[in-house]
Order: sequence, then C-alpha cells, then structure tokens
Amino acid sequence: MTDRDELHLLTGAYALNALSDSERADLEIYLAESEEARTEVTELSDTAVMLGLASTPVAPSPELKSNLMALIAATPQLTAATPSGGRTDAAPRLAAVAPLPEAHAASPSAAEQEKIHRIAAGPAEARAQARWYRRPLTLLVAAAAAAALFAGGAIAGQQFSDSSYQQAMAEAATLAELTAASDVERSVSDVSGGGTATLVWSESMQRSAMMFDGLPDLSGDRVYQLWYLGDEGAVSAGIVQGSSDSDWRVLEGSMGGASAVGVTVEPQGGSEQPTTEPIVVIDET
Amino acid sequence: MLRLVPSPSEPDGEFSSAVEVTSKEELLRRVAGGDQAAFGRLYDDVAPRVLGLIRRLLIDHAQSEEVAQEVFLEIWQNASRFDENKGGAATWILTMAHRRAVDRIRSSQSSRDRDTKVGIRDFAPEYDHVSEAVEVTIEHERVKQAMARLTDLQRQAVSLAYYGGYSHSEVAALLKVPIGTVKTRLRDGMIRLRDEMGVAS
Repeated sequence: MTDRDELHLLTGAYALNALSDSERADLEIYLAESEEARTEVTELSDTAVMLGLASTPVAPSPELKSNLMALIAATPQLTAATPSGGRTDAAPRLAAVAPLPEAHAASPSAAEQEKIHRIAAGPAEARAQARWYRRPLTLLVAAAAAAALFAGGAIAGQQFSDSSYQQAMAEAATLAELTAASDVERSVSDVSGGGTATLVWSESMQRSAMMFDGLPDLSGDRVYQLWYLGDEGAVSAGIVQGSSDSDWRVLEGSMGGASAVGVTVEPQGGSEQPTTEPIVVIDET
Repeated sequence: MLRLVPSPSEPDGEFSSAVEVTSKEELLRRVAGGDQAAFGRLYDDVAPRVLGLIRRLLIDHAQSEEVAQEVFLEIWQNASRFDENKGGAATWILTMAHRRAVDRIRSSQSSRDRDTKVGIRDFAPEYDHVSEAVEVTIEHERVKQAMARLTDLQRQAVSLAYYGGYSHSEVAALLKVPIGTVKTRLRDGMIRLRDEMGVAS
C-alpha cells in the first residue's frame, strides 16, 4: 500500500477529530493536492456535524451570554483582508499550538510606551512612572489567570504581530475575568456633560473597569483620567483617550482602601492629582 | 459601545415584522462586519446546540461553558473567514465546537479523570436514551436510523471517537483492536453514515 493510500484511510478519523496532531498535519498536506480526498473529507465532516446535531441541546447559563457580549465588545476581529497564509481550510482547523501570548502581553505597545515616556517625563513623577511600569506585570498576571477562560481568543491572537492587539486582548482578558468573578458588581451613573459611565468591580479581585457610553469626544490636548478615591485622597488609575473607539479600560492598580472611582478631564498625559472637578463619581460599595 | 448586558429592548422588532427570520449565514455575515446585535441573535440561535455537543464530550457543565465561550469568541473573531461555499453556518460552528471540545480533552487530564469517573459504557450513544431526551430532533431520528446500519465495530468506533472525543489510538485500546482496523472502521463507518443520511457536497 502506498503512503497516499495510507493517508486516504485517515479521512474518517480526520472528520471525527480523532487524529494526532502530526497525522492531521500530514493529511492536510495530502488534502491540498487531492481533490478526491478533499471532497471526501468535506462530506464526512458534514456527516460528523449530523452526529453533533443529534446531541440533546443544553441551555447555557445567562452569564455565558452576558460575558460574551462584554468580551466581543472588547475583542478585535480578523478582517477579511487578513492573509490566511494559504490555508485550505477555515479557522476551526488552525492548529492550537501555543496556549497564551504571555510574552506579548508583558510588553507594552508602542503607543503605550509613548504614553509611559510622556508621563515619566517630569523628574518629580517617579512614583507615577513606577506605577505605569508596573502595569504590564499586572496584565501578565491577569492574562495568566484568565488563561482557561480566554484560550480561544489567545490562540487566534497568535496570528497577530500587532502589539496593540495583544494589549487589547490582555485588557479584554482582565475584563473577562472581572465580569466572571463571583462577586462582580456594577453601577451605572450619568456623566455631567453627557453620556453614562459604568463601573464594574470585584472586591475579591481588587480590580475595576470603567466603561463610557456616549461621552463627548475631547480635543487632542485633553484626556479623561480615572481615579481611585478614598481616605488617602485620589490615586490615578489610568487614562482614557477621549475618542469614541477607546471607551473603556481596566483600572490601574488595585482598589485597596478606595471607596469610589472618579473621572476628571485632564491635560494630555494625565495629572498627578485631579486638577478639575470630577464629571462623575461612582461608589464602590 | 460596550454593554455588559445586552440591551433587553432593542428598537429592532418593534415595528418590523414579528416573524422576521434571518438565516444563520446572514447573521454570520453581519457579525463579520462587527454587528454585536447580530452576534447576540446568532448566539441565541445556536448556543444550546453548541453547548449540548460540548457537554456530550466533556460531561462537566462548567468546563463545557468555558469551551463554549472560547468557541463563540472564535466565531466573533473569525466570522470573516466563514465561507458559505464550503458549507452552512451550523456546519462551520459545530465543527469548531467539536474540535475545541476535543482540544480541551487532549490538553488536560480531563479525559483520564472522565474515564475513571463515568466508565466507558456511559459513552453508549445518546440515541439509546432517547426517552430521556428533552427534545427529539429530526437529526436525532436520522442519525439513529443510520447508526443502526453500521456494524457493531463501526458504530462503537465512530461513537467513541465523536461523542467520547477519543483519538483513534485510544479507540483501538478501548476496543482492543489494532489501530489500522480502527482507521478503516472509522472511515467505512462514516462513509456508510454519509450514504445513509444522504450527505453530499
């Protein structure tokens, strides 16, 4: 029997996902050159789907949908223009080789670097600098913790070299973890000047995320800045650029003794302490 | 705009036809364009099927929901890769769901744990317990009838591979037959099922 005959025998196992990774790879090479085998695999895969349709449907928990709706809002999509690398098959067959882009998640994007440098510019702002440099580590931990939850997205993320995408994925992973926390709470508040702000937080995770809906765009020299507010005063929790496409973010640092989160409008690069009246304050209680 | 909970009352539907039916393929096209509402509708359409299949393989409900979440996230990210010429949306989605469930079994100890927990005989195909099923589908009937046409060894091999998520070498060990025999039985069995159910491309 020839190798090709051997490979052709694997079409059934292939359709049932019963091959080892190396056999699967071998067969896919063979499929690329044999139309007859491709047709057979397509038909047997459709047959396998019939077996799947015969399973008893199971109602998902309501949380699954609410988590997903939050996740997709924060997860970039592949565009049709993205080169597929000549793969003959669709996304489901992409090999899931590496589990998590941890290394990528740990390195700040170019834009983030720039932000860090801008903020670190003043010598008196050593503390702020330290805080911003701590950020990637926090993301790394969050990304690792959310690994199981987020494996699907992370695998797809392997195809991207774009570090801002990785950054977005890491933040999305933290957001996903937050929304899945057993003690997650949320509170919506109107923002003076228009729009609403939604704060999501988890006492057990000590993390929070803020989402803006319909806030006015700010001119280029001003940003929204987030603050943890407590007995100690205001501690910066990061910046949201005042454009419509970056309308949420996971807050820097941990909740600690903070009892509320506030938002002010600050000069580009942010301030050490609030310089304007908050446009919204939401209690974390 | 990000919402943690989908808005319960989208204006959509208020004035349009109450029986508006949109195909899954059309929904997927909209999802590819970033339409979050379409994603929500597609989810409502297929999530019980997806979760039903995944739980069939993983048994554990919480783990199954995790995998279902991965699958739906993948749908969101890769919707633009969906090619209608290669099959329908349900085929694309369920193929992905099965693959991810199998990945989960292989990547963890869950398969071993599962074996000791439930034992192999519990992987008898679900259509044997049809009286317990909440919903008896047309597909269910078709599969049941087609399965009855297979030889015992074909049926066992296909069931263990598809519903149990076992690799062909595991199937060979479970059924105590050579791997080569399992490979041919899986292929013969699937071809028979294809012909019985009239699946053709």
